[in-house]
Amino acid sequence: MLSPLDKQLPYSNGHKPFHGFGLGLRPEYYQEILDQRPNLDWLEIISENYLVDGGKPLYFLDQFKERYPIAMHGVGMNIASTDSLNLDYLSELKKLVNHVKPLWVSDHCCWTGVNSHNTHDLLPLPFNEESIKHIVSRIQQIQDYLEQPILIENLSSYLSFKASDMHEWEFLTAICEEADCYLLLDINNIYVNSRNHNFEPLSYIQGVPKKRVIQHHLAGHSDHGDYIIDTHDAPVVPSVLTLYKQALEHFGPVSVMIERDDNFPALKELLSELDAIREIFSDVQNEQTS
Amino acid sequence: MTLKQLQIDFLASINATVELNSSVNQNNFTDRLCQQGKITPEQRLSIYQNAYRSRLCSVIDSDFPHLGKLIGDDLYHPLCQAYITAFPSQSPSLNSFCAQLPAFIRRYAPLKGHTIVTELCDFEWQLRTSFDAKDSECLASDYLQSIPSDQWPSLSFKFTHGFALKYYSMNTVEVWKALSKDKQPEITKMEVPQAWVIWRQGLITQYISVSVDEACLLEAAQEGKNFENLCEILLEWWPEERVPERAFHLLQHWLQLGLLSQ
Repeated sequence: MLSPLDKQLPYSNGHKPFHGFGLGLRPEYYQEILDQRPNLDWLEIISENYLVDGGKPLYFLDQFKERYPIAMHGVGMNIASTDSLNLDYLSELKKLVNHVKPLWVSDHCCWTGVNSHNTHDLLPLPFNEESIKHIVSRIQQIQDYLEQPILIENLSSYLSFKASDMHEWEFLTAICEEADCYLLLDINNIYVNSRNHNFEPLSYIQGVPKKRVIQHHLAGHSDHGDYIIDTHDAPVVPSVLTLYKQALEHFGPVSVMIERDDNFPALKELLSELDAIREIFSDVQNEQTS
Repeated sequence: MTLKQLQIDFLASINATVELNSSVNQNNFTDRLCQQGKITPEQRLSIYQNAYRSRLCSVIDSDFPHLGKLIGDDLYHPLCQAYITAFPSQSPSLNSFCAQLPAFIRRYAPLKGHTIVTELCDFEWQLRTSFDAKDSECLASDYLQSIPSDQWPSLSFKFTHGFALKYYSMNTVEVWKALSKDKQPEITKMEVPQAWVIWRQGLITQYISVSVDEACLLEAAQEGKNFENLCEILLEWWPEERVPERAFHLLQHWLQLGLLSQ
């Protein structure tokens, strides 16, 4: 039987939407993007920035909504928390979804707080059956409430638990398959985690189900030698671009975008980065057709 | 160990103030972490501890851009830490995280009694609140011309969502302006508290000082008093024959500023 989710987004028949090359929309670039209409295929907004009563954010959102396809990306769903689901938050999110009519809605496969204390950080949890069962149930409730499938993003992490008994990619695969949700695969986060937890990043890419991968994130990080912090404050590094190329070769075309959240450069620098990503994409396409 | 208990202990460890590289093991939480490479579990946990406090400090910096300049780093950083500990965020959004800071700072021992600090904090938070306020449909500037004469006495008014009337006993707004230009402010006490109106006009947050009769009228209008009541209030400052003119002038001024809504 088709779930309501399948009716909304028919990814399950093998047809995955490809929306090209986008950018994380940040207030620093609002006016420039509106004035210049740069070569961007789509934009991703941080949902929580627009869960406000009024003012500039919503004014600008309406301007962008008329000009670009928009994906909604959240940081506050608290999917893996053992607190009750925050229905007030989901209600506000659903209102925004109905207003924006986004390409899709995503959040992170993590928890941000417990006992009503929100850290506003993306916190990891053990990769084991108990966590899978808990998260799958939560995602199913969220998808039912939003009446559409969601994408969950792999997060960057700095510690791992003795209670884990599987790889991160096995964990994500089980969640996506059981909850019937999709993956926003952050290539930078895979690289960060491969260095922080010492695994081969290609194993990760090859370990998640192709049909579930709908979007990629690319971002910069801070390399401290023995560990990496996912800071989004610098250009995407060559090692991550290499991994992106390998991901493209494996997954085929997947909508991709750059996240920049600090140390903001001129817009043209981000657009140049995006052009470099387009070139990698073209190279892979050409290699695969020749 | 349930997932719930793991999350509670993890959060308690994040919330604890532990120096980077410290060997202190909060709640023995690090016993549950893997030893990987050269980085110890304590160092790994400290990344989350530092990120937590740093992120919330950044929110305070953003909502109160000049408070730190006024009180200096030696007072500002402990204030931020104390606030983060006293008022952990309980919302998925950070928009309201700093809502309690103006009240907190009034009873925060190292700054208690420093009126300029509490007033500047209040002013900055009001700017933020007005900025994020729900949109309102303002009355047109010719609204008063459309009111039939027999309806004037009972006419009452509604203010836009971002509107606030504040009284500051120090030259708070002047201090804020100086700080915003990175200038050393001259701090003085006003002879009488000065009334300020803060609101959002379109997408821009605005503020103006208002005279004492206008402030009283604004307060009364906010309370729902009608035009006849407002005229009675003005009798304290104006001769009876000039009251209607003064009242009309102020209402027209409020309409032009975009203070009144449908």
